[in-house]
Amino acid sequence: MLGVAEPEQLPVRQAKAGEPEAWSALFRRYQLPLYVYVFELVRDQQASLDIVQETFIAAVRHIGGLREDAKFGGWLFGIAHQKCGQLWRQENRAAALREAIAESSPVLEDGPDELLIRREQEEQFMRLLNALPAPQRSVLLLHFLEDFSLDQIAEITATPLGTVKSRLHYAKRALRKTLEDQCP
Amino acid sequence: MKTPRQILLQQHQPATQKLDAIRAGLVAAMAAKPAPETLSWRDIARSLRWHLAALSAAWVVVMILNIDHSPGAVAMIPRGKIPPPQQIWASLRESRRLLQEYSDAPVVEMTVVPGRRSEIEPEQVEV
Repeated sequence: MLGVAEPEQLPVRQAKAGEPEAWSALFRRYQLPLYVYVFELVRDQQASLDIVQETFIAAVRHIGGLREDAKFGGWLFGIAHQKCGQLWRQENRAAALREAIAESSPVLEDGPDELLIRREQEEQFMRLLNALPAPQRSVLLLHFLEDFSLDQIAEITATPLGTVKSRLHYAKRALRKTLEDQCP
Repeated sequence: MKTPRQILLQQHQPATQKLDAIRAGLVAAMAAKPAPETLSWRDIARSLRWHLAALSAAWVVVMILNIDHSPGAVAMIPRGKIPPPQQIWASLRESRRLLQEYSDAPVVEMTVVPGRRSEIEPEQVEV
């Protein structure tokens, strides 16, 4: 599966012209990464599917507002991120939950950028990801799933660049430390 | 060895079917977008049927309110101003005499003034 960093020809221009086939191709390309991102933030399958659907509908409606076709992926994730925020606000429990998780989250050493995970570590990886506070999890997911740049992540999450850097740094450190502890 | 991306996508692979269904539904809805309709006069009239019905009802009310229930103009003349039959008859006789004078015809004097119709006996009436 292709990442955003890799060169790929997305039919954004055709989608802007309202071609259903182009939209189908774009949805197929992003549906699973978008779902993973949303699910890992909201932790509810039905809510995640609803958000993915709403994100696609919003994308069709507002595609005219997208200035640079190359930024389609980030733009789409930005819509999904906003919808996750709306859900959190509706449930009115996000802040307390995030703070509680943040207090129990380990902050450990930094390591190499490339991260490869063994089969026996996969479960541990998912568990750790789930234990991260939502802001760190969000940044880490965008980094892993689509290899978005820090600037893009800052744009998607509507967060200052410095904050994004810090969150990604601590999240990756925590992840590496846990994996090293399990398999030294 | 797998990348975090591979692990994440693999973990959620079972959701692909549902995502495919969502995608298919959206694309089908886009493809089935209805063409702009051309409105005929019948459609326009049908869309305005309630307005037309209301206007008709208003006109009926106006007509009902404007119906003149008073007696006719002839009946409006006061009875006291109607001249007596003798005077009408005399006036008629004078008119006929003047007419015959102008036409040089012999003037026939009518000496008998007909009585009231109610006074005429049934056997005098010619059928």
